[in-house]
Amino acid sequence: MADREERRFAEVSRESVRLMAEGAGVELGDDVAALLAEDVCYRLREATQSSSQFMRHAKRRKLTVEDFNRALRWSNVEAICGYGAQDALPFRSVKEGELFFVEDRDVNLVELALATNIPKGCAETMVRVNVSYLDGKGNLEPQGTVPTAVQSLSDDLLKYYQQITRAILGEDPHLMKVALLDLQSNSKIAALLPYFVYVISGVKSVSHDLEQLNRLMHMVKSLVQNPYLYLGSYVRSLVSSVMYCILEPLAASINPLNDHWTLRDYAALLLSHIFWTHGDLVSGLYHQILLSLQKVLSDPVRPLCSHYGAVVGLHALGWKAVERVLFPHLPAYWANLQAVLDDYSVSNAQVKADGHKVYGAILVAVERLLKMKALSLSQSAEGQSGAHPGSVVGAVSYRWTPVPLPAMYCELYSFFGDSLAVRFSTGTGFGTHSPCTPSQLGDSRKEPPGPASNLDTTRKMPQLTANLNISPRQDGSPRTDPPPPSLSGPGSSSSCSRQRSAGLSREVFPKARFTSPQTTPPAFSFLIGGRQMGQRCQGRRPFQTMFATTPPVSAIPPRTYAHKLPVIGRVGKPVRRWTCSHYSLHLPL
Amino acid sequence: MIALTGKNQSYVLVLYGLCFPLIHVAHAQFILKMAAVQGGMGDADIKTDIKTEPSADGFGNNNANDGRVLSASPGSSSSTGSNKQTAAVTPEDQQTLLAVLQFLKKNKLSESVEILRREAGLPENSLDPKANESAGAGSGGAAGIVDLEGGDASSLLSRVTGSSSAGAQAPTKGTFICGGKKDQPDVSVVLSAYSQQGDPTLYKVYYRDLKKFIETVLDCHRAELSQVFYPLFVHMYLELVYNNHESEAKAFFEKFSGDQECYYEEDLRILSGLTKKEHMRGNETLLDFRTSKFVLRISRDSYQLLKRHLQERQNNQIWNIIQEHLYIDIFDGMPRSKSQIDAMSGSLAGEAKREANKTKVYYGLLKEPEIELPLDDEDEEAENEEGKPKKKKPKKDSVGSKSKKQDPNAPSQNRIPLPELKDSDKLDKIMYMKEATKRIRLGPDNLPSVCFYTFLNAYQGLTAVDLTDDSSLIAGGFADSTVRVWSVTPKKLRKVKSAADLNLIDKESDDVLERIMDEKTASESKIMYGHSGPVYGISFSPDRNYLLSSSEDGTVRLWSLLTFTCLVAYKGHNYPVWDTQFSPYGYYFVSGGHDRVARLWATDHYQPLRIFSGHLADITCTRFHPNSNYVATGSSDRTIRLWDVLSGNCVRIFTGHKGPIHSLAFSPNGKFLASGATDGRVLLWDIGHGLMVGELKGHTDTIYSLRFSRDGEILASGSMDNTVRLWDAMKAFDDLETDDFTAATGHIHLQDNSQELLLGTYTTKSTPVIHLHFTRRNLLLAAGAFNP
Repeated sequence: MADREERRFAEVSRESVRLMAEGAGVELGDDVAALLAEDVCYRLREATQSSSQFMRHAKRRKLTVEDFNRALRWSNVEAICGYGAQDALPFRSVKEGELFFVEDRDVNLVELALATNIPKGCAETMVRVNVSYLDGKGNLEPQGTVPTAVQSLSDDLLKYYQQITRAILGEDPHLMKVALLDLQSNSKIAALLPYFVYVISGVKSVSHDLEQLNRLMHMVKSLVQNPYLYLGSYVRSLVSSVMYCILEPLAASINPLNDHWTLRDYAALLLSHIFWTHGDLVSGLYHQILLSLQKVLSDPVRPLCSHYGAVVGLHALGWKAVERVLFPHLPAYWANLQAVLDDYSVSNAQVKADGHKVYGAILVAVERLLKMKALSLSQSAEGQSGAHPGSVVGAVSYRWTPVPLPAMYCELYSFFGDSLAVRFSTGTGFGTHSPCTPSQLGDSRKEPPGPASNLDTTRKMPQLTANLNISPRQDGSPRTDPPPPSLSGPGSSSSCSRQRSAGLSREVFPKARFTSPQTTPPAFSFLIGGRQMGQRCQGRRPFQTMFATTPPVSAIPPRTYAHKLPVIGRVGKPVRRWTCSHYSLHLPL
Repeated sequence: MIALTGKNQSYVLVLYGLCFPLIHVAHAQFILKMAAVQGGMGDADIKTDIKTEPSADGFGNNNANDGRVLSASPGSSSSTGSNKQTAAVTPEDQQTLLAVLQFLKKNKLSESVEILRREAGLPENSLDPKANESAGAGSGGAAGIVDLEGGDASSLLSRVTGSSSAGAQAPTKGTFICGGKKDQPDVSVVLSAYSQQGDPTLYKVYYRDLKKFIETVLDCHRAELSQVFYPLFVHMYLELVYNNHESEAKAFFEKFSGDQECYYEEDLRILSGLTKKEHMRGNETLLDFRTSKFVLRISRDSYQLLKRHLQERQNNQIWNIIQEHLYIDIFDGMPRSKSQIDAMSGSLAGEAKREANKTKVYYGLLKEPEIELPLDDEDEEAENEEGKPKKKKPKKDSVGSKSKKQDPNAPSQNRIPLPELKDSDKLDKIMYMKEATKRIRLGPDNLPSVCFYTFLNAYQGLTAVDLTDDSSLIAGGFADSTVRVWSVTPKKLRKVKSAADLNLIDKESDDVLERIMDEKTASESKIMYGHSGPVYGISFSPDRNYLLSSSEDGTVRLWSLLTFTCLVAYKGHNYPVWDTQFSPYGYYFVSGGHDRVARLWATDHYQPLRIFSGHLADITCTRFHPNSNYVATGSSDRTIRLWDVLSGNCVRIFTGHKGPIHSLAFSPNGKFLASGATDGRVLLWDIGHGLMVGELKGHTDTIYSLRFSRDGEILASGSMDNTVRLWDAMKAFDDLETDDFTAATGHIHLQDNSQELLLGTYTTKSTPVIHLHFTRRNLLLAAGAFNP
């Protein structure tokens, strides 16, 4: 029989029997121990078999300690107490002694007794009916839809719900914090989940109120982090609310003083968190998110803040998402962005500022993309193929073929020029996988080697200039930043640890640190212009990079990218336009 | 002095002194009689614990016989604990009493022990502590009680019914008891049958020889003869184990266990764990296998072939096993094909004997009582308002025509005495008929809507669900021993006022039924406490006034839904009671559990009226036939039995499931039975012919609920795999053409048409479906606990 192996039983060794006997103060001979061990095994199997009956009749799939104890009781054996936990008991091993034991943490009775948060009872068991299938044809409404009225809840729950929503949406920040904390750890609010989801879905009605939106997003975060909540298909509803905050041209963003960027960053972060921790609950969620992000990105009518949201959203979803959606779309998008950035009219100032935001976001995203790509290449080169975190995502096949790293770098470089290059040191770290060796280029791109060989110089040159302005990161790797502490909850899965550092984007674009051109006119700026090969930009096109000096470093909190991020525009207009610019320093390439 | 003697393989309890002190004569004799029956169960330990003396055989037997007469008095039951009679007592020494107590305790008759001890005024610790180590001996003991109570139950029913059926029943019961003794012999006797010893090393040769032979016979015989493999394999293995040839047994198992049919895997697993003679004692599965002959159906030709081969080869070892442990049901005619055999096999003890399913079963429905359907004014007005006054007439017709016909297959109306209809019942009937006129006619093109009742926050574990027939109440049994009832209509649940308050009510007023309710207690749900173990079975009475629950604590409890208190705890099973159900006419109910017997009770009797004994393993589910004359039980021995409520006899045995059966459903016309098991298959049975008529494959996990739509067109099945599936029952039953030959031989040809019959699969989020219910208008309700 094929499954003969499976029919083997766990055995209690005679050493164990002897040890136990010793523990009880009895010395056992070898043969006695062997006999006993065999008998113990048999009795254990017998008890297990009869306990499975209790499991079957309790209509469960999981055999519990309770079942086993019942079986023991009915065969006149003393029950084993102390193992009836709801969750699986983790066994810990002690290497030296080859000993396994159940972890039994000390309970601080004093703390427990004096605790102010008195544990509440379980939520009331209740019956709820829903029409699942009407006339045997499909769902009347998708399961997990949000009820519209708050009823059929017990009084306690209702009160809790009212207090929590009032606290979160109310004025008192302290109260809000407490409420959010409770929402994050309360184990008995499963019944309220639809109601909270409903409240959160109210984002659309408060799009003018940034504060409220923020609070609602915090609420999402708390719900997502609550380890006792099973979100199920409510994930979809939550995601749509979060996506709203990321992508929609919120009413609040009309006023430039409103920092809706932070909200978008936060929401993007949240999105990635939901996806990485609960993405498995809804099939196809990833694709849906990607699709809607792509849709926004490819819609030129959408305002720039929406585009920004799409970019940070993609960035938050991981470099694979960036590679698959943003990167192929970049050439098309670039033209639009460029037009915005090149318009120096006063009326365009606000839009242009937004454009810079988008530009910065894209830059950060592609930078991560390149780094992660290089990392994954190096990892696979080291024989750890497939171990990179993005593989989960990348496994989903699409009509999409990955672009090799050198080609990708070159293409991106054609857009960003030096501002991209400065983010990578030319040192050894990256150099081992130097993407721009001429031979590789020749393979990957149908391009004459002439201009390509120049790339080395173009890459180094601006680094010098950049060094004048800013101090590039010494290690050249922003990836070493500690992941933001905000969203890594205790229950988060380890698989997403890397992607979680998508939180970088938030620190990259704090509004306050952004120096918009119209408020602080550059004291000195210079442009690096040139002709650059653009594979997707219809042949040779000129490019120009403008560097603006930033205020002195000391004036800015030293911890962020802001001062390292030069304001960079790129001109897609004919060369004769920018030659007029008197500050420009044209370096023909 | 009491002594136990081992004589003729049954121990006889002998009374030396005249009687116990303080103990009623009848009671004492009852205990003795019980001991006599259970003596069969006592193993060798008993002899060492209690002094053995040669005895006067006749005396003990007299006692046993008297037991029947005596036990007709209700006080004699061990389970009721109501032995309050005091009668003549004579002094007796404590030693004897202790011996009796010890014996009782050994056989797990703790209640009797308790009673006896209390009556004798003995301290609790007077019993030898080592007496309670007899594991596994109890099941037989329980069967022993069963026999006794069966006897008195019949007389009880006869008193209840006033019919003269008691006379007819007594002999049946009597033979049963005799048979019972034979069927439930003590372990050592059973096992000693294995002691005849052949050369252990030759077993392999024998088996291989037979295998070779069967592989070389003509194809048409091979499938039939292959049936012999499994029982032979098991018995040979057990023989090896019994004779302490452990290594040979292991080798034998290793070599040939792979050849067995896959549906025996569960049993083989148990078997493979058993490698020592000591383990055989107290292993229930083993005992089942030993005590019942494995039944095989083989055509005469094939049998002759086998017989000739074995005689030629002088293969006595195998021949002996076939003779002693197998029952070969020989039939004339064509041998059956492999698929035919596979469809019917799989149960613990082989197929059912053909004659087991020959008894006539009155599967027709009882005539509905004629109720004048008063078309009350409200209704008429409402219809007039809607402008459809025509509707009235057909309604009247349909109701009339239905109740006038008398089904030729129906039992006589008073075969089983049924409770008379109360006014409220008549009202309910009228409501039912009204609803029925609005019923949707279901079919493959017109599937029912499904509503799901989800139990939220059922962290304690939902183990059983029931809905009332009118779908107004839902009840859940929980693993934390509670029973909870919810109202699923806006009407809240109210208790009746206290006695003092009730006195103040004007009893003449029209709305007195409304006035007795205490408005202050109105709530959506009520919790009822009383059990001390998980509640595995739950059932509403048809009149919605009572609720039954069966629990692991061995009791069935009757709850009032007016006061929401427990009225009665029916004790008798002594082991977990897996299921219980009210009769469709109320009053009676059936329960079945771990002790392998099903009991028929009436709500006003604390003892069972009937005891249905015969299953070889736990009874997992019980269902009443729509005409209340029959009870179906499904069991872990993978068979379904149909019992006649009147006679207590088993009238049908259905084999074919490959796993424990967890759900049963009768078709509304009473003709068919559907059963679902852990193997994920639904099997359909024709009750009249006693044949399997369909197999519905599709579920991937245990089927916990089955229900026919109100008109029987659709069969709904709910499973652990989180789906509800709808099957075209009309088609499944219409396509049947049971010819006389099939009916006579029991050879069935099943076509594999599950896919055609499957009308729909509906999935839940993460909720195993443990109950299904069609409302009176054919809306399908499903229930289960959300299981994140």
